[in-house]
Amino acid sequence: MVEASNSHPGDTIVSVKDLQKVFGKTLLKRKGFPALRGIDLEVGRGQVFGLLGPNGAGKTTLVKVLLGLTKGWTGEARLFGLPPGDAMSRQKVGYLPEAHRLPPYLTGHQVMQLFGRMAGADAADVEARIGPLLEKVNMTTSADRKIREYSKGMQQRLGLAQALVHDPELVILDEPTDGVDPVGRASIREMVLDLKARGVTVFINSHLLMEVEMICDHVVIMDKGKILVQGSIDELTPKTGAVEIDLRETPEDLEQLLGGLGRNFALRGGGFQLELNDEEQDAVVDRLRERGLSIVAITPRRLTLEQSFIGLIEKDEPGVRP
Amino acid sequence: MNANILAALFQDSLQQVLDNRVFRLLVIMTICMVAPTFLIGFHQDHISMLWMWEYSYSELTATLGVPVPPDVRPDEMLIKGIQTVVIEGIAGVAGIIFCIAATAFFVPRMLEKGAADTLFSKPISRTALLVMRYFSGLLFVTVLSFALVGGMWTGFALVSGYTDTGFLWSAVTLVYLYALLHSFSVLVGTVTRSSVAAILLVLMMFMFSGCVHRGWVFKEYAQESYALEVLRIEMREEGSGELREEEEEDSTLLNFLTVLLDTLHYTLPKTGDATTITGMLREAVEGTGPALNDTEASVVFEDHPEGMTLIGSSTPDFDEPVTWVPRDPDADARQRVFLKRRGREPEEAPAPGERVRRLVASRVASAFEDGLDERADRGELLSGPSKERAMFGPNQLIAVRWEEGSESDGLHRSRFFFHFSEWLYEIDLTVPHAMMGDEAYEEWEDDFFRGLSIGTEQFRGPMQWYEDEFGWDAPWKFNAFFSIGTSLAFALFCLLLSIFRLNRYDF
Repeated sequence: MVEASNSHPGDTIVSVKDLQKVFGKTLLKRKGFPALRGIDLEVGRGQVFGLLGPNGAGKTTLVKVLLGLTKGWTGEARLFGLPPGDAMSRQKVGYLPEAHRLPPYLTGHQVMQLFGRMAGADAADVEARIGPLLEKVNMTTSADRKIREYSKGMQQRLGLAQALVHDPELVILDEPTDGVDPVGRASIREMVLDLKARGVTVFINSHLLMEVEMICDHVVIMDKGKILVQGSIDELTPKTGAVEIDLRETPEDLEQLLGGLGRNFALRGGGFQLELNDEEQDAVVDRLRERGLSIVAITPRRLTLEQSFIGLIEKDEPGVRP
Repeated sequence: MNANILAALFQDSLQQVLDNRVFRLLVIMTICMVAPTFLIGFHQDHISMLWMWEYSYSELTATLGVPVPPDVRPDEMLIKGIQTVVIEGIAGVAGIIFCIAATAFFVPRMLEKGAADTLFSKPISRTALLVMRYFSGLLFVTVLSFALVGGMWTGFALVSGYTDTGFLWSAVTLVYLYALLHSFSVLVGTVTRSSVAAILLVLMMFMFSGCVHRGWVFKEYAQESYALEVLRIEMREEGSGELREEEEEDSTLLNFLTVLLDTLHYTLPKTGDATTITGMLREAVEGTGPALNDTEASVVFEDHPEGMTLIGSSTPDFDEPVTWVPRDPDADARQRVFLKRRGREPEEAPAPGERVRRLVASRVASAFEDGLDERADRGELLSGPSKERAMFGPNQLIAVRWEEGSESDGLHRSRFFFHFSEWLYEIDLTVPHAMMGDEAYEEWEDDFFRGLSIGTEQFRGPMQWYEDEFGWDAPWKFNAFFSIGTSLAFALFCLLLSIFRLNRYDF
């Protein structure tokens, strides 16, 4: 397992140590399928925490253990310092499950009322929060329609709203943008960032790495029930060594001008890209300035989260791409 | 779980029920069954429709070709018939099956992937959620049952003027019957997570428990009959021990089947008892049991003589004459009704060569009349005696009437004779003239005898025998409390097993 920095502000909301869970283990079938194999992680208050991994990595199982939906695990798991499944801790959690199914016999408004009150919130408080939340997920006009009449995207948006209706301290979102159109995705992203700004801890399971990269400040990558790496986005997207230099105008003999400096020269619109060390970078700037070329920007290239993710998964299981 | 959460769960249950299409269909069916009770009025001598048209019972019976028995009130007979058909037939069997089918999905749907995650992540225990789903089903049936029974009761009360509070118990027993079956539905739904499996297995269990119940009753009946037969043999013959030994040799399989039947009967919910319990509850409220019941000979008086009350039990042993006295303690104490029963075997053994002549009503009545004639000759009677015969089905009822006392303080007197099975009955009536005139006395007499039925249950089948044995204070295996208790224990066991299973699920 690759260990990256584990620092986070504030107190710990989620704490997991050597968590193991085996499915299908019975008296007759002793082996079973190991879904979690010794997971260690901590989520601090106010973090937006991304959980990444291919299908079957154990992400959803980890969440379900934390919420008391899955039993028979070993190790240590705490939510708000309490054992998983404890009503007091679950009261502070808003959860949007993957492929969730809301009661089809209720209207959107009734779903919000039901889940808000089931979470232990006062009926009047819930009622006061329903309007603004439905507005945020753009569901105000459909609030009085039955769930069975909703499209998948509408159900997803309402699912997100119900996860927030009791003003939770921790929001767990399992594939929150699944089935949602680009405009809806953008509004979900905004909502997550809004939660972050309000100090709410957000725990996101997602396949959409771009989104995770855009909104998460701490990420865990899992595969086959174990953590491959965890850390901040910066830590998980290291510099590649390549630098992108944008010029006001690009001379035709640019490659000759930089001859002997750096590796893997490549022209790109408005500039070029080159792998350089620090001394070589200074030399390149000097040569460009000597020629009187105006430098607009110098940007060090980083790995994308997707590249890091695929690299890690391939390393864990060579030849198999997620 | 606080009140807020409880209210939310109740609201959820209610919404789930109201949204159910089968529930709406059943509501329409309920309205269809209740509405006629508001539109058709059953009265003592006619039926009214929509408060406008009236039909006499004679018109109706002529049209239908079905005569109304002369000794019953047709309005009561029809209303009770309708109540029985609706509650025991339509609602008690078809309705319950419908409700089971309509509510069997409550638990499996809650356990579907996606739905379960959302629900069980809330700070409510799985047990509470399952129990609320169980109560959703009960709410479903409670609303329908009370709408049906309460609606019919109100309709009959307002339009026909017929009220029997005991009928309202039918709603409770419908809910009770459903509660037993629904607990099993919840168990199957929890274990299999399949609505189809829940419906099919519950229906199978419903039928199976009915079969087990009947089988057990037949077995008990057979054992009772056999025990009586053996007792008779033992009393008559010596060496009955040989008979027992022979029987015991072949009884291993029978014993096994008996134990199996007993185990199943005592374990499964006794759904078959629900109807009997309803009847008993109705009787407890209305006091509608017969005024007097000679269970040995199936001779029943439905009503007491008007204005009179029975001294002693309504199921007497006839060691002493059964006596009715005026209900009003200030009334003339000479008003009396006696009922005597004696065996028909002659008290004196017949002379050698003479055949045994059992007592018959006509002979005893004639002898009694002769005695009265002698009294009349001596001037001891004001009028009579006169003798009259009437048929009660195949049985003959002979009445001897006379008046005695003084002109200013005379008494109406009647003595009725009939024999049935091994018994001869005499009923003696005395009413002072001051209390009733001739016509009123005749009417009073008629009213009393209208409720008489003789030997209507000559062959008491096993189920009838069981119903007679079954009661609130019967021995434990025929005891209503035992039946209810063990059935509820089964329901509780099913729910506990469901909770046990649910708490071990990984979602």
